[in-house]
Amino acid sequence: MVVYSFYIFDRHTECVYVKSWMAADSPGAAPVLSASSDDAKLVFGTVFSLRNMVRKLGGDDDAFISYRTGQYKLHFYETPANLRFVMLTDTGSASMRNVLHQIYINLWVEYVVKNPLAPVEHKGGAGVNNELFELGLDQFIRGMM
Amino acid sequence: MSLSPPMPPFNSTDPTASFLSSSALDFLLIELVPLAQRVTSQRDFPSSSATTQNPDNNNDGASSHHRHRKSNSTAAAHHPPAADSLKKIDDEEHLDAVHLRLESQGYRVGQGLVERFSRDRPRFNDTLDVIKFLCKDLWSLVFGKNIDNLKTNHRGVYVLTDNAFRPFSRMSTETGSQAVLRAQPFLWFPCGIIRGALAALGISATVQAEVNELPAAIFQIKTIAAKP
Repeated sequence: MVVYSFYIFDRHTECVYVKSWMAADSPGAAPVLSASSDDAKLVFGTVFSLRNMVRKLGGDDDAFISYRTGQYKLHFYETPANLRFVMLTDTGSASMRNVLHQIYINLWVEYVVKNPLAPVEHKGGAGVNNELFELGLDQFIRGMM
Repeated sequence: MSLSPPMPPFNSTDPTASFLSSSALDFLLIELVPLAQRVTSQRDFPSSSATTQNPDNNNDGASSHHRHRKSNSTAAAHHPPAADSLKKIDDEEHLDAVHLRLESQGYRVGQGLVERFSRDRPRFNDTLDVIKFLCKDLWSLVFGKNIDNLKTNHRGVYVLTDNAFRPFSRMSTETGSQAVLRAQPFLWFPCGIIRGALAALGISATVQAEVNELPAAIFQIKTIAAKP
């Protein structure tokens, strides 16, 4: 299983965190995503529309979990507080919903929400990219790969 | 109220005890510092609240916007452009005022805590007994663990080291920013708790705290001529 990249969007739909693990992989297999900030906007637009479409078709309780292309699989998890976690992996990986939930409760809540030095609103990603969160996330993801 | 997981029987000796999520205390301790900073800048430094605005004090909503607008206009009127040195002095005064505010709040809390949690104990024999009560009982009540190291010079100075101070356990910033400097205000309320606790047990002391590396904290207690 390979994790390509990971995004967090806050309740104002702003991308507050991006991390990419693609450097270590062979460039041929990874989906073509440049490092430009437009990626995050495109990803958000995609998951936002898909979520709305899914709810319209399947009712309010239906949740958009993932979609797959020939190149990658996108996993989506939305918290009750309107935080959205997105992860791009290779096509063969199983559901990452649990993983995203774990990142939310063990890393986001612990090291961002309960961090006295992080602001409540993470405008421009302020307070999210702290050392403990970065380290924990990297260890967690690398432990799965 | 305890931070340790409840063990049955649930405090048969203490019918008033109840369970409270330790997160509630965490968030309260987090908010205490920016709150003190806001109150200080609005009450004690109304004309310079814009210049003394702390960078980590940006988690208030409507009130801050209101103050921004208000204080920007007043600050612009009161401070000509060449007010840099004045601003520096103001910053220090402001920090001192925040320190005093947090310390006295902690003092009050410490006094109350001791009354509540020393009631079933025999009287303490000497100062070291009191300090031990502080390191073990009170510390685990408030911060969920004991003090890791206690040193004394036997002349009234006690140095308490907590290698994983609970308020610091999740404190982290991006690489290269001054986390230690920004962590300092979070020690002032606990300092007050210690001083208040000692005062309630009949020991007047001064308490200073420092942080060299997160998440460790060092508290230095200097007792002042304890009466026999």
